Amino acid sequence: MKTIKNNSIIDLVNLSKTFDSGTKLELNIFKQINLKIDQALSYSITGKSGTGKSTLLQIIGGLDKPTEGKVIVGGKDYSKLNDKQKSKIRNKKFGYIFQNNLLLEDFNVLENVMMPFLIFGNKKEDSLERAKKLLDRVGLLSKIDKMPNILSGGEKQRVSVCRSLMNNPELILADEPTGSLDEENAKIIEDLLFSLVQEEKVSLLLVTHNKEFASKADKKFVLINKGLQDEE
Amino acid sequence: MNYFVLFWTKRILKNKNIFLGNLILIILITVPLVCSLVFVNSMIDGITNKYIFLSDGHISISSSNNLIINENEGIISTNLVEKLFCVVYSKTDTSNVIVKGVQPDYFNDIRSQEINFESETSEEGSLNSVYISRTLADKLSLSVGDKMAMMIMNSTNNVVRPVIVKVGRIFTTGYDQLDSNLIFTNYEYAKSLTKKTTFNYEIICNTNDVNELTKIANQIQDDNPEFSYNTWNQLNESVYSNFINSQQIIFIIFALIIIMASFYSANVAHSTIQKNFTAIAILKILGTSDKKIKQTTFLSVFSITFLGNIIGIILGILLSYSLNPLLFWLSTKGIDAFSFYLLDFTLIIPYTRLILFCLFMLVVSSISILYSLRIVKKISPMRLFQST
Repeated sequence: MKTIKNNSIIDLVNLSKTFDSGTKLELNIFKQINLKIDQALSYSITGKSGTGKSTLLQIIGGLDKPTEGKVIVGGKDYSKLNDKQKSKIRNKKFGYIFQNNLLLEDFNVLENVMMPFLIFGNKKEDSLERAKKLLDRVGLLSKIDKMPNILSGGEKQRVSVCRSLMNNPELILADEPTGSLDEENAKIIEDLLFSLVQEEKVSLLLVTHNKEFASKADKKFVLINKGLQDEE
Repeated sequence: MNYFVLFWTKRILKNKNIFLGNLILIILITVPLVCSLVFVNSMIDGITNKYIFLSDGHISISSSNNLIINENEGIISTNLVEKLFCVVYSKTDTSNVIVKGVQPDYFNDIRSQEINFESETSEEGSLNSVYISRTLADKLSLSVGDKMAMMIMNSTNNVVRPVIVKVGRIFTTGYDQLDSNLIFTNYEYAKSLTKKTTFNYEIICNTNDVNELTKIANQIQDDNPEFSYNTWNQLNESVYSNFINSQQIIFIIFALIIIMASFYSANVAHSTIQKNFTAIAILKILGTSDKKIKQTTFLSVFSITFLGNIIGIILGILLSYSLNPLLFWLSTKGIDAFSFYLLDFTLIIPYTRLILFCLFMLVVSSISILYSLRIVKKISPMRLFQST
């Protein structure tokens, strides 16, 4: 990353997650996790299946709640915010990329990319230039009016990458972004993701079981023994 | 309005299954309600007018002296009338009727709108003539010029005696209940039959409002201390109370149907959310607040309800114009129940009631839609990850 600042975007303070298994036994996924995500840095979290990598990312992204601990976003405890404030943070500060891309099937490629901008209340015309620029960057400018169901898996994920960057977020949260892609497409997405976050000067938190992919991040962690360990 | 809310609402409405299906259903609920409202109002107004203009007037006065009526803005006409009860006979049948003696100016413009006379007349001859209705003429097998016997009671000495009269004209009021027991004759002849010394007046006013009529009657009473009067609702108390009760019952039925329809709107809102569950969850991840999702769903479902309501009201009003011929056609099919309906009525569109009905439907629908939208808060994006 070119610009490295020490201002943190997110602070995880003593974060724990326990699932109620339905019996008296509780399933402890991870506990006492502390992590500081700084601006314009890339982070990767690896670990075996079931260690709670995705759950951790979802908690960081405000989609799930921790059992204990705090997620501090912009100096504020995320759990103490109201729905409007939380929504604003998800819209303005975060960009999301998921393994199954989660595109809106009833909207075309361009509208999908523009959606975070539209949610913020902006008009379609105001976001056209940026959306087209991003789609051009990932080689999908010719498919802006296509519906997601006719795109290949790799193309869908590229649209998803563009969407995550649309609102100039501070942090991209990527959960197994290449998990459902073939090797060739996975490589394209890997390269695209790292080069785009570098160009856009945003932070990246990558959760993957692919160690080679994870190794490209500035800071590498592994989720093991219910805790987060620095791989370096 | 937030651009995203409008953008997303348009998308929901583009779903033809949701849009058309629900729109048609709302229209199907609204059209019969509007038609019923127009029908009931027109029917009640029509029957009321028949009773007022042909039977009793707005105010009916009985006085021992000739009445002095000063100029009053509310009074349209004052007519001397004489009524008596009798049994009429023909070769084929009998019937109990009210014979109403009226002066030549009785059938003025306003009354002429409530009664249709057949063209054939028979005024000449030594016998006194009466005007009978087509209903009565058919029942008694009488035509213009035929003789008819009336059994009348002299109220002064309680002697019953028959008189022979001639059918002078045949009329139709359009209301079978009135037609079957009303006969007109000239005032002097009726007076000679009753031999009463009192004078009876029918006063037509420019309002049907009972309070206004009472005020007018009180003003007349100030100039004529010794007389008794009744307003039309007092003379036709059972008819009047039936009308009031009918209107109240119809409003209760309407309210219940509207409440049921609003439950349907709530169901539409619920199913819209269910159908768009994945999209809503994705939108939540991307930063859409619950409020915006609620606004969007509310706007789309409310748009359908509102549009359905407006189209339903317009179609209902248009369809109401065919009620009169439809009712008349049905009456020719020998359905007895139609004798209780007015078959020739002026269509009255109760705009105020329609607006109230529309507002009530929209308010109740809004409340039920908003209530059903509580589910939005419960949609967690985490369900997307659990289901994939």
